[in-house]
Formats: sequence, C-alpha cells, structure tokens
Amino acid sequence: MADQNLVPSDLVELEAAFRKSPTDLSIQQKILSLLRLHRIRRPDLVMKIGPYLLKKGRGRLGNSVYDVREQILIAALDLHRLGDAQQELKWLQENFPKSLRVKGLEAMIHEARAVPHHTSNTDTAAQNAENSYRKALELYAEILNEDPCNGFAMKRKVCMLRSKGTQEGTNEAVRALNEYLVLFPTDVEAWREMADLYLELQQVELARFALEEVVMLSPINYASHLKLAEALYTLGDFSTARRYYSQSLELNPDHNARAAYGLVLCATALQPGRGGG
Amino acid sequence: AEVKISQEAYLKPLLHALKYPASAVNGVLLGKCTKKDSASIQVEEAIPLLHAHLSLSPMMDAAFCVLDEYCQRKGLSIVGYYHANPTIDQPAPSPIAKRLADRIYDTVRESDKNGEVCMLIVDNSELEQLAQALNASRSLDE
Repeated sequence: MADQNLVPSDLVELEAAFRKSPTDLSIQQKILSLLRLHRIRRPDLVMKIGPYLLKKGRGRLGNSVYDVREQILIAALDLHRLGDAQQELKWLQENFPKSLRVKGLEAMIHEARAVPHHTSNTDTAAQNAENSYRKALELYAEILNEDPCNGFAMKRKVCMLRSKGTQEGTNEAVRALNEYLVLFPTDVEAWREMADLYLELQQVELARFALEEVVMLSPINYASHLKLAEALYTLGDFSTARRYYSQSLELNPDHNARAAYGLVLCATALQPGRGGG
Repeated sequence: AEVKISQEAYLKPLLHALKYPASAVNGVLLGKCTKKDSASIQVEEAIPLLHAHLSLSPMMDAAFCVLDEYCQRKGLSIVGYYHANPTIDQPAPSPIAKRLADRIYDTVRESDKNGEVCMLIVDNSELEQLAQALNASRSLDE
C-alpha cells in the first residue's frame, strides 16, 4: 500500500476526509497507518476508528490487525479506558502467548492501574495502586531476564520512576536511564529524556552535558541547538549560548522565534555595562 | 491577604494544564494589588508561559520583557504565579514552582516595597474528577 509514503502533515487532510465520510474504511486504515508510522499520539482518533475498523474491515487489514490491536490497547491506556485495553490484551495473549512484546503491553496496563484513582476508600485505592506498580516492575524484570537488552522494558522503567513525581523518583529514573544509555549510547531520544530529567531536578549543568550529546547525534536539527543554547544561557554562558542560537537560526531561519528571542537576550546580556535580560 | 480572581483568569490555567496533560505548565497572574487594612489582590488576567523545561531561563526572561510593556499598556501589575504539576498526585508546589514564585516575588518587591503576590496551584486530582464527571455523561464516539 502507499501508506508508507504518508507524512505527518497528511493527517489534517485525512482527518477532514474522515469527518466527511466516517465509514470509509480506506481512509480509516490510512489514518491508523500514519499514526503508527510516525508515532503520533492521537488516542481520540484511534479509539474512534480502531474498534470500528476491526469490526467492519478485518479483511482489508490482513496482518496489520495485530498492529492495530496494539495501537488500540495503547490508545485506550492513554484515555484510561482500562477495560478496552484489557480486551485487546486478552486477544493478543491468546494469539502470541510467549511474546515479550505482549508481556510489555500487559505491564503497561498495570502501570496505568498504578495511578491512584479517587475511590471512596482511599486506603484500598492506594494499596491497589501499589500492587499494580510492583506487578508492572515484576513483569519488566521478567522481560529483562529473558532478554537483557530489551530497550522497551528498560525505558518503561525510567518512565515509571519519573512519573512518581518525587525528587528521589526522578533520581532513580536518571540511574535507570544511565544503564540504558550504556547499552544504547546513540539513542538520541534517550539523551533528550536524560536532559529533561536533569532539568526537572534543576541540575542544568548535567542537562547541558546530555544536550551536547543530543546535538552531536542530531547536528542538523535546529531544536537540538536551540535547547543547548537555552541551557547555556541559564548557566550564564551567554557567548556560547549566542553561538548555538545563531546555529539554530541558520538551520531554521523562518519558524524559529525562540532562537531569535534568545539571540536578542544574549546580545543584550553581553553588552558591556548592561545586566542580563 | 485576600485574593479575588476573575472567571477568565481562573479558567485559563486549567485550560493550559488540560492542553498539555503530560507536562508541567506555568504562567503569571496580572491584576491589581491594594493595601488598605490588609492586602487585597484582584487577579484579572492569567498569562500562560511555559509547558516545557520550566527551569530554563531565557524564555522566562523574554516573557517578562514583553509582560512589562503589556502591563504598562493595560495598567495592570504582576500579582502572582500559577503552576500545574505534571502528575496527578502532586498537590504541593514543586521546587521549580517555588523558585519561580520567589523570583516573581523579588521582582515585584523591587518596584513596590509593599507589593504582594499569590501563587495558584492547579489541583490535578480535582480537575481529573471534574473531567470524569463530565465524561460520564457522554461517550467518546460522538
């Protein structure tokens, strides 16, 4: 299918077409393919289209029915529709009983259950949340036991620790992410996450180190230079920040207001006799 | 001190938080501060600022430059800071929130020795309950 040629900007057109003819299976299939291909997070669309497509379009899906079920599972988790997620999991487990990928999805459902939800009895809720949290970690440990280089499980652990929302949680996430980066040092997204974690801990110096790795790994991405420039500015290194802002503007001169602002701020800060900002 | 807030200034931080459910968001509150017997803050506007990397300073600096001019034009002053945490079970202001709120306090005190500021923290848990209550009455497939 020509679905491999879809680009993220096609989504606007496709969504409009979907609204006009909501039962057109080919449009539905294209939308889901695009979302999967470019990892776009639109749980609302997936939950509108997915179940319908599964019911009416089983034939045209062929082997991609497995991907669609996984897609629905994850979208359901995003919307906290745990029943729907569980349903898809059951089907996937029946068809792929030994799959580590499916086990990872099972763990994700436990992760979603680990969010304490307001019920009348907060003690039970907290206990259930705690149990689910532990169960999720257990499953990821099982996956890593079978496959010590399973990037998915390692990254989910980082996410779980980060979503605790505490300083120690985020510190643990940094440690877990470091373990991952030892195995996958060229994963630019992981370095970006590392920078985010350090920034959350307000350790801008360490974030800068991570952002330098990001720039090394994605040197023609204007956003990488931009972020590094912001970290340098925060650290007070206005002259180096200015260089990275300039580089960012060279890479993207048209839709880069942020770098333009940054350049002005740096230039002002570097003027003799003037303070910052 | 007593704080009064306009409807729009109340809603904007909530909408900002809802737009970026996975991030912390923040912004400033503008209005007027009067001191008769005790301080009274009237919040008239909420200006959304950041939804990523709240601890990086350049965009905050730029925002304050633009805000200065906006406040002068509208006859308002900075009277507070709002913040929404990224996770549902964090009712307290994060260290970053406290730092930025302190910074705003210092800035306000520089120009007005008696100035007061307030901090508004979005209660994510309450917001979630509200969203659930609304959702219960309509399904997603509409």
